[in-house]
Amino acid sequence: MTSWRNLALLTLALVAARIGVYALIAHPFGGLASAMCQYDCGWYVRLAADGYQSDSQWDTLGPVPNWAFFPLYPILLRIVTLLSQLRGEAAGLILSNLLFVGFVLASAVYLRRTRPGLNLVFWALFAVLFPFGFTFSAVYTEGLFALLTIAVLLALQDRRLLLAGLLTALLCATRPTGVLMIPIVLAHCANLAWQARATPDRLGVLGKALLPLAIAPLGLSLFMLYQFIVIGDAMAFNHVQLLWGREWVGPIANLTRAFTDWDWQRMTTIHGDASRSYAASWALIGLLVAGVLAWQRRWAEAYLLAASVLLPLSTAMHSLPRFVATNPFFLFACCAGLLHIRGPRLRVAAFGGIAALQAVVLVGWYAASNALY
Amino acid sequence: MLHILRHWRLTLAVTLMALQAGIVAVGLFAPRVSAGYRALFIDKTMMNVPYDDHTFVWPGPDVVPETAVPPTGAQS
Repeated sequence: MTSWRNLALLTLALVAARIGVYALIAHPFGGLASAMCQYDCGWYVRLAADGYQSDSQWDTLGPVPNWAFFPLYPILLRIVTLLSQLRGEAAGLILSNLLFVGFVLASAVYLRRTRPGLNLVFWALFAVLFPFGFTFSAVYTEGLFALLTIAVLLALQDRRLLLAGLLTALLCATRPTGVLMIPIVLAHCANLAWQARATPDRLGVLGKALLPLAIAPLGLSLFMLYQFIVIGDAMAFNHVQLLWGREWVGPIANLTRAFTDWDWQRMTTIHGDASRSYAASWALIGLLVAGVLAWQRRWAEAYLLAASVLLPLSTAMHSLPRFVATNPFFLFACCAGLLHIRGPRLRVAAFGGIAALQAVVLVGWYAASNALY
Repeated sequence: MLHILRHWRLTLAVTLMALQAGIVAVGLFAPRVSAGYRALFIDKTMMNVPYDDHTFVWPGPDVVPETAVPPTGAQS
């Protein structure tokens, strides 16, 4: 059996080696910190430095509000920046990679419980090598969100409902999709209340069941309160999504439109708009994997993956490949599927293949192409 | 009073839920925003008005262009 200490050391070594390779590839693109800092990275770095306001550095568009970005990651980035005295881009790399290591290890604990046959060394290797894995190293919320998601599920498995509620509150302060965890917490709280219904201290049981549920949405509620005080609109985080082209259309309408467009040719242009058909295909793959998880009776995982696809799919197509490909449960399912490959040579070839794919996708990221993300 | 202290979890839970319900209610039904903000982001009646014809003041000194063009990057 792999000892946890060895697994932690292996993960740290793999992530350190990966950053070394990223730095080598980044050389022609202006260095690691600069090349990795694409798209939303700029928002997070400036949020960490200046806080919420309209961001005046989008010189071609004029000041643009940054309230669509949730506060927990920028707060952590601010802390790491102050402690390390590094530039935001570099401090963000440290933060994201630490969170990624935490996610890989927390997932190992979760996988040991939920998929006892899965080799955890393979899991660590897969997590480091899979094609979109580099986004966990970028100055993005992926690592924090994935780590908190797994931490909540572990706390729920251990019946530590109050801890689960607190972690869900942090999840809700990380991304809008954090609220998708609340029904899971609700189900566990309801289960606790139901199981203890015969005890004489009913109010005590009710308190134990309701408190985690009341704490779970706090991250979002406090963010809303802050926005109401500063802007006058508690739903500003949602309303300003319009500037990113996100408006409620519905998942079916968006999917239909994306496949009717059939715009795969856009993928041949480096800096043009991303292909909607490509993004829609990722959404379908995500939903398909959620279906597989449901078939395996992994209800919470299936729900969290499907809902994480359907919610953004209802408003726009962009970023869907990233949302699907970095979802923890999508990764677990892919890793488990990869281990069905028999024969060591075939497995080595498969791992080599996904590592090569990551290199290709990474170069596209460094080149600021949005064709794949 | 003793009852409330004895069931502090329940009291805290109900208080937190009531406060959060208040925040959501205010957020949905009573935003305090300028007419320009409301027209662009809430009513969405100004989405297609050219930038030159429509600017409004954000909280603070900045003037934001009315535009549906996404800024660089994708929101996560």
